Amino acid sequence: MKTSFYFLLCTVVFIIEGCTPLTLRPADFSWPTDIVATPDSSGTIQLMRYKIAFNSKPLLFEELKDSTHVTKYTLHVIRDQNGYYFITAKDFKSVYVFVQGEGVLKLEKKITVSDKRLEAPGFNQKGSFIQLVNEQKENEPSLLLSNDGIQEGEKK
Amino acid sequence: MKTTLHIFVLFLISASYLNARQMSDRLIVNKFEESVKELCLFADSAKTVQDCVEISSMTDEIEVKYAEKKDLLDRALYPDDYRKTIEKLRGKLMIRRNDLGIIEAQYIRITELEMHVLVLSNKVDSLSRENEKLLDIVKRLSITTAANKSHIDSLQMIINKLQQNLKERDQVVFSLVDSLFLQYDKNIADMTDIEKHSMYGKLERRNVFTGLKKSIEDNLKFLRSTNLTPNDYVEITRQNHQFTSQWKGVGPKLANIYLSGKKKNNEMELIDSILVVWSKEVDRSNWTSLNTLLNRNGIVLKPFSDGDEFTSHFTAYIDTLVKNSNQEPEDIRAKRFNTFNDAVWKNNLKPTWLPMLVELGKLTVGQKNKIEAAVDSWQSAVTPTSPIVYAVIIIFTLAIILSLAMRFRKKPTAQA
Repeated sequence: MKTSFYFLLCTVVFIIEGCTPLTLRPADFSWPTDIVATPDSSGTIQLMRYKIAFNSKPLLFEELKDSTHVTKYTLHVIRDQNGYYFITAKDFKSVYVFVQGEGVLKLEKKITVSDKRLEAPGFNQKGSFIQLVNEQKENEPSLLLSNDGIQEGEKK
Repeated sequence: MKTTLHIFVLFLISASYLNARQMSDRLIVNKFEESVKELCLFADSAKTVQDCVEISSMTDEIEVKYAEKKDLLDRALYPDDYRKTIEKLRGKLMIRRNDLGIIEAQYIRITELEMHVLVLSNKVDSLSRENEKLLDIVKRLSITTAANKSHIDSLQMIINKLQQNLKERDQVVFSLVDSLFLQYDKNIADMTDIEKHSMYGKLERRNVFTGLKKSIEDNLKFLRSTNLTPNDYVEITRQNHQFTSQWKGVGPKLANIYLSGKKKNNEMELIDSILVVWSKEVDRSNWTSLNTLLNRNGIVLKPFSDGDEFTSHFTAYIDTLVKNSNQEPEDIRAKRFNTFNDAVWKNNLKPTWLPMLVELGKLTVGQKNKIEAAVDSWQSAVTPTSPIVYAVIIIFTLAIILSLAMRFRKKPTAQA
């Protein structure tokens, strides 16, 4: 009886283990700095260093209600440790957090960071957070962001 | 090379804001990459040993400036990290040096001079910052109404420190210019266009004109600040005189280097003109300060603004006193002279002002002697005759009488 119980237990353990996907931990997807890029006329942003491309038109339309003059905008993109993409641009009021899907970037969270339009946003990698700075304003407090929203600092 | 150096100077200035502003890491990385790229271009286009030394020195500066961002740069740069990027740049420069066939001994000598320039340049910057603060403190303390002893002492201490610093910076700026010219080891007239362009870049990069201009401006500010003592003015005058003569030596050399640049010619004129303002103001302050010293001690002269006027008004004043000396009681005359002698003549005018005025050519030796003679005559007029003098006269008279008496007494004996 006891022997058959152990045999059954081992079988269950092996079956469960076999069903769980292989996990490589820890993994760090963070980029050292943000990337600044301008969409082409079709709205596609090419991040050459990381060989990533995506369509920015829906994002520009969502924030600025403009999907026609896309080449005049410059987007700032950074990826955090967990692999979330943070995107913003000059004149945005929000930072958009995307997660990578199959051939898509899916919106995870829209973080409204300011009541006014951002003047010169820039992202820094700060440990497990993303720091949002204003590159033109000396000593303006920065915001620490994660995929859940603002973690430190106050909405501007 | 000239244009690129201009760009690089602008770039370095913007890079100096690295720590002052809240920047994104990307901007720091971009700026580092841009500077390395610029230096690579310079290395490729270097034509003289001085160019190579300068690029090497720029590389050192970049390395130091970005050392604290090494972690970020190591992560962000690709495929090389921070150290490798700098090493590659140095390698490129080494290749260029070999291509140009530069002699090692010459390279080392110029590198030493360049290091000296760097040290002096940093010293100018630090002295400028310190002087700025000291000038602010002097200004603040000068307008404070409370004038107790400790307040005056601390103000005087700061003024002394500031004066020392201004003097030091003036010397450092000129030493810097000298060290730059020494690297070429030849007269400006013998320099090639390439060497002149290289020199131009160095002068620009070390902000020589700004340094010279700042020196004069700060000296002017110091002069205009209140609560300076006559001794301060003496020192300022000496400083102004020295600066002017050094500028006379350096100015034409710089003009030759900047011959083609209209903007820089304007800067030369600007330095000339503010130096004239400084000299005039030093001169005016000098005579005003001397007049204040005399006034404060009861010597009221007609206004004077040069050595001739001062000599004539001062001696005329004393002549009047001497002429009128018989109309005043002896004790009043003596008291007036003693006040002058103690407060003005013995401690200020004779040991400090007169030698300085002669040294700077504002008084001639003849005028100085005339002033001293006038003071001597005043002293004679007011000093009562000493009893010893009377005693000497009596003894002398008695001696004559006695000798005459002896002679008259001896004559009858001879006849006998």
